[in-house]
Amino acid sequence: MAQDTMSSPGTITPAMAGRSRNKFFQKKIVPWLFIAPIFLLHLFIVALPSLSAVYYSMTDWSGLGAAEFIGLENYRELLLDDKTFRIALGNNVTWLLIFITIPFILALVAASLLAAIKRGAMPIRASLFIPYILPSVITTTIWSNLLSPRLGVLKQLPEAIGLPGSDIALLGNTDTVLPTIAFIDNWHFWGFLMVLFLAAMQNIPPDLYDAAKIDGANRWHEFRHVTVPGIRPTLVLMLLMVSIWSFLVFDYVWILTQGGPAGASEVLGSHLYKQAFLRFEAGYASAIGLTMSMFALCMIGVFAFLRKRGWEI
Amino acid sequence: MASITQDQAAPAQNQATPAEPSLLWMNIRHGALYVLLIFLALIFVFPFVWSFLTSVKSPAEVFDQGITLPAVWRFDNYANAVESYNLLRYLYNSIYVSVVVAVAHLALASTAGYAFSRLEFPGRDYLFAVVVATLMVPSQATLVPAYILVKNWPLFGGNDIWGNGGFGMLDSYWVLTVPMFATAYGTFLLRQFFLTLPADLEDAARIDGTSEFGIYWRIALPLSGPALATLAIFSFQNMFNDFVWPLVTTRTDAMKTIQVGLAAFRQEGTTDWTQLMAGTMIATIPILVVFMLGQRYFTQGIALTGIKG
Repeated sequence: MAQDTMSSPGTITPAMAGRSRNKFFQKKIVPWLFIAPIFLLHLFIVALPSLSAVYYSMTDWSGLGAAEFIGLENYRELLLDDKTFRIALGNNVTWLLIFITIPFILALVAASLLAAIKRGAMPIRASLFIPYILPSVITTTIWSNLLSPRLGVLKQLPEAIGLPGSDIALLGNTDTVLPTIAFIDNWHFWGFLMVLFLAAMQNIPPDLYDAAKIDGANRWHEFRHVTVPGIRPTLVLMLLMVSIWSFLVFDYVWILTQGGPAGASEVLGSHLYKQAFLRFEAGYASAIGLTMSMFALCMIGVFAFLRKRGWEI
Repeated sequence: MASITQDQAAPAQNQATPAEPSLLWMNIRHGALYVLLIFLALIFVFPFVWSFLTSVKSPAEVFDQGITLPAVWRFDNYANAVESYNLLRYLYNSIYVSVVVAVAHLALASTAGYAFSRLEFPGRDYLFAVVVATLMVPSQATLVPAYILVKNWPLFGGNDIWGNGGFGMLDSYWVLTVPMFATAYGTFLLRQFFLTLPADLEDAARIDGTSEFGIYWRIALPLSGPALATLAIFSFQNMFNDFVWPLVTTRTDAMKTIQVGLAAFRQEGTTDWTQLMAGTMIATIPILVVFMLGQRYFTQGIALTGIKG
């Protein structure tokens, strides 16, 4: 030991040097190696495109050749002159209103019913959840078969029990097309909320329900004063996420109607796709994309504002 | 409990045997609950049954026949669908791409998640915040620039070194997989999971001189089975179901994924519903199998984070 301390300043043995070099490598270099791949990917796939989107949105550009810088002209046109944009934005807002109410009510009801039973809950839960795992192409095909005016359920099911069937083309009518697409997407989506709420409900301490019962609470009181406060964080996070997603919807609209008939189901996502890949307006499409993101961001702002105002969310 | 019994059971019975009527009532209510839930579940199963029936009918039977079983169960609709739709190629593409991306997510998210939870380096938490913040960037905002980036990737698909002249990565497995590798969700999920692991084992190994990679590989990963399974299943499902990116980056039929391929048939205004539904049923099988195998991880993963992948 004493010898060791004495000789250490002058003579460093090769083994010691190796260990300290190794230690340096483990401490200073290895962490960067661990995160380098994910960091580079995010740089190239998210950060770089995000920044170039800002630049592209200020150009008149087909995506090929030289881009012409035109400042905020795209945004001016979008916000002031673009009728399709206005219709699309209105449809996105309708979509938002549908999706922050109906699936939430459905999911809350089903989750609180499922939370009350123990045996046999699994197959029921699975059959309610399966539509969520299916890809959009499958659910849309299933439902356009069901809703098709000549061969669908709307005609055949009532007629089978002697009632007049309907052969309205729900997806071909400008008044019904958007609610119909929303219905189909919702059929797929709400199971996700149900599973989430169910998990949150199962984390509520059972004594709270016992206490409520002793106080003479009925099912509604229990739901209102124990269940809802118990799952509030999940509920609020999902309201926020669904609000954001409502501005980004694309798949269901595109596969079912491509925004038609006569633009009645146009949403920001389909507008962007058409501008970018059918009309080759890469600059204008980028402006739409960023504007959509702004609306999504605004939703976060609204929630942050409400929270600041003292809402318990 | 007491007050409910008193309200709803007859007072005389209530005094004699307080437990019995309440139990009967509970059973009835319980039974009603099951009936209601099973009815609800049937509503959700019905579209699948209808679709399956359509897929085994003859084209004539599909129209104006009412709700009937097919006269002959035509399973050759399935063979015809496979033949006329190039279905197997689409399925192969979808499964291949989904598996590659899921494996990449496991490797990338676990290494990054390990570093963000267990290793110390300057700016760690700041960098982690940046990665998580990218979750909030909607894919639509980056769709056009990302498309232009892969189209102009140098020395790919006939491009020169400046990225001009060809189609770049478009219409290849490269474009369907590599840009999907970034997984802020997975990094977040695994970091949170690693944080719950006890640090003692790792510290002991570190003192024994095990390298950081050795600790990650031999200690952290083997303890993380459930979290890794959750991520793998989520990534697979997300990739298998993805629509927009394959839609914009594939051109030839041979590179289409099942979602894009089926959507194209629908939009061609195909009239043969029997074949289309047969194709749809086939396309459902892989995702159903994955769901059946990993149902537990599926619902756990959703409950754990509340965020889609």
